[in-house]
Amino acid sequence: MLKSIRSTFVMLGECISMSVDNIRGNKVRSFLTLLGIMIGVTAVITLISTVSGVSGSIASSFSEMGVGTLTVTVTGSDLKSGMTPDDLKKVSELEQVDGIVPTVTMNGRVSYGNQVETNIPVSGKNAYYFVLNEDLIIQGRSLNYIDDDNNSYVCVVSQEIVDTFFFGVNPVGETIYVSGLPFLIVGRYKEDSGGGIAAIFSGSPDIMIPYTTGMKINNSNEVNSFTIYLAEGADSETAKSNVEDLMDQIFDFEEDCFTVTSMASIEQTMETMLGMMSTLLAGIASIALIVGGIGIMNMMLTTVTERTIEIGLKKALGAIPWQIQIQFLIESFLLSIFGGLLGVILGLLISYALCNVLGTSFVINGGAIALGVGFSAAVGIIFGWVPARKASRLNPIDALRSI
Amino acid sequence: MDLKAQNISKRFYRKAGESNYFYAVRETDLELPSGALSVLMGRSGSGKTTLLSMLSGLLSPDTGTVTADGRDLYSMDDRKLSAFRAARISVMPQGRAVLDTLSAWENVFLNARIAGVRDESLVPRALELMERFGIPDLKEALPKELSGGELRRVMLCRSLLLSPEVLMCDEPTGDLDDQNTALVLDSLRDYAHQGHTVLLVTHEADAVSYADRLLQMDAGRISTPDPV
Ligand SMILES: Nc1ncnc2c1ncn2[C@@H]1O[C@H](COP(=O)(O)OP(=O)(O)O)[C@@H](O)[C@H]1O
Ligand SMILES: [Mg+2]
Repeated sequence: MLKSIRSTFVMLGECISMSVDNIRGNKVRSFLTLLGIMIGVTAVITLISTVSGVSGSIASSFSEMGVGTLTVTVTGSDLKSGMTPDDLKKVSELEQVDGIVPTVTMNGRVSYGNQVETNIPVSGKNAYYFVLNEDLIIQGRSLNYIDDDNNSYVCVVSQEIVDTFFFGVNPVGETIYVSGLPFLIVGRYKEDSGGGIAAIFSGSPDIMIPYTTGMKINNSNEVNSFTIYLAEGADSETAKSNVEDLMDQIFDFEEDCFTVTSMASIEQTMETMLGMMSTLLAGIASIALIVGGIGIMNMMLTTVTERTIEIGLKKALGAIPWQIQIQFLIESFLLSIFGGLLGVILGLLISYALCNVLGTSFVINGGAIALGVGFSAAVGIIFGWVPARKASRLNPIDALRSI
Repeated sequence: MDLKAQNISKRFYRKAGESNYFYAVRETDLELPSGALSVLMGRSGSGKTTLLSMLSGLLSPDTGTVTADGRDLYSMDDRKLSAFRAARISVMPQGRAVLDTLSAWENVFLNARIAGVRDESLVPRALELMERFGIPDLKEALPKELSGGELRRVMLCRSLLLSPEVLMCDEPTGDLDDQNTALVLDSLRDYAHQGHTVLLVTHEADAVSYADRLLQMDAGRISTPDPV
């Protein structure tokens, strides 16, 4: 009994080593067989890793920008089309609110000396914006409360403007014309204006002026969109409803005058969308895996025919059917697992490169690796089954007659 | 181990699905005693390989039974029969029955690997066999680098490695020169005289002088009854 258990183990070991011999003895064929699986797993790993890298960096942009923000879009009523600076002040004085940044944008015609440029993005900002982004100004001063209150004709400019208009000249202290009006340049800011997601959505401005001045240029007394920065520890849902209550009062309880969106909920929606997208993509890539599996089955079925001599000889020499079956199963299992591992490595390399190109951070996704390897192992066993069975049933006499 | 065939026949169809079959082996009785070299001779196509296949448990006869020490081979299931053959009956098939991906040395060990026998003492035995048949230098050679005669001797070493109780060789001297033929025939007789059951299928006339029992096959029948 013990002896027969031992010899069963020896036989099993022999099956494995015969499979390995066979894979090694037919390197090109083996490689072609595992190619399909390799490509499938590469696709899955690349997609999942890249998408999770992208979603990771989107999430971190959100938290950089502060999940603790609310964005307000105002459509207004017939009587009142937007928020005045006084209305904004009321909002900023709410308990959960740290401050607000109004959004005032325009595309201006900018000139200095004889040089004129059109379509320069100009943005109206308030002093609080520069408090939030304290590292932004690299030369001169930022825009302050006095500028806001006095509608001063002052501005801060980007490196782009400096390069365009002030080559070799110190811009601070110069006067530049925006839409025909003279603005005194008081500072210069970093190219990366720290806008995070907002910058992705709206592009970064080249010139910033006091928002009150911007409203005047736009011929408007009101602002139609602004961002609320919540105080530390404030709950964004409570804050949201407080803001809504206050703004209902401001708009005299008219319906549909504004919407308040919390960044937290945008982030969540975004994450859900990305999750769905990556599941969908992985699903599509899984088809590649199944195709790879069919490739293995096809190749193994072909080899069963091609290898009748090997199989028949082994059977003639006393191989038990399960030995043949196990050997074939192990072979397809090893091939697909090996293809899977190659695919994982290749996929990680590709997604690493992609993440570098996209500028997102690369995260090794353990789940994706487990999925790739697990799936390919399963594919090997499932699609190896039919050929293995066929091989084990082969008639040795027919095989030997064809030698 | 004594092998006994009673009234075995095998018929084949000329073309699949048609009813004009013919008998490759017809109603044959045969006994292979241990300790004797039985030589089965006959023209090509007379049914020798078919008979050997049935005797060795590879091909089930259409009629009759084959028993080994009283055990009916074909009443065992595929698994049991395979295991029985692996342990006790060694067949050296006609033709080029080697694995091309394995070296000569690995091919010699193929039976042992299949039977799940891993025994250190097999190494000196394999060396000794390869030495005896004049192929000690071919250990690492691949089958495609070997001549027909060399391959045949590799196959013979393989068949003898596990010292099977029953050894059946189908045309083992096919590609051999006279000297090697004599060597092989001599070895087979020695092996039989050590108490094993040996069946030699051949059309080599020289084999007659080595035979303890001579069987002549003609059109599916053993025509000369035991001449002993
Ligand atoms: N599987 C088979 N199908 C059809 N005919 C076969 C088969 N095996 C053998 N035969 C035929 O049976 C006859 C005997 O074959 P075989 O036993 O191989 O002869 P030998 O070994 O004496 O040369 C031959 O005519 C051969 O063509
Ligand atoms: Mg023959």
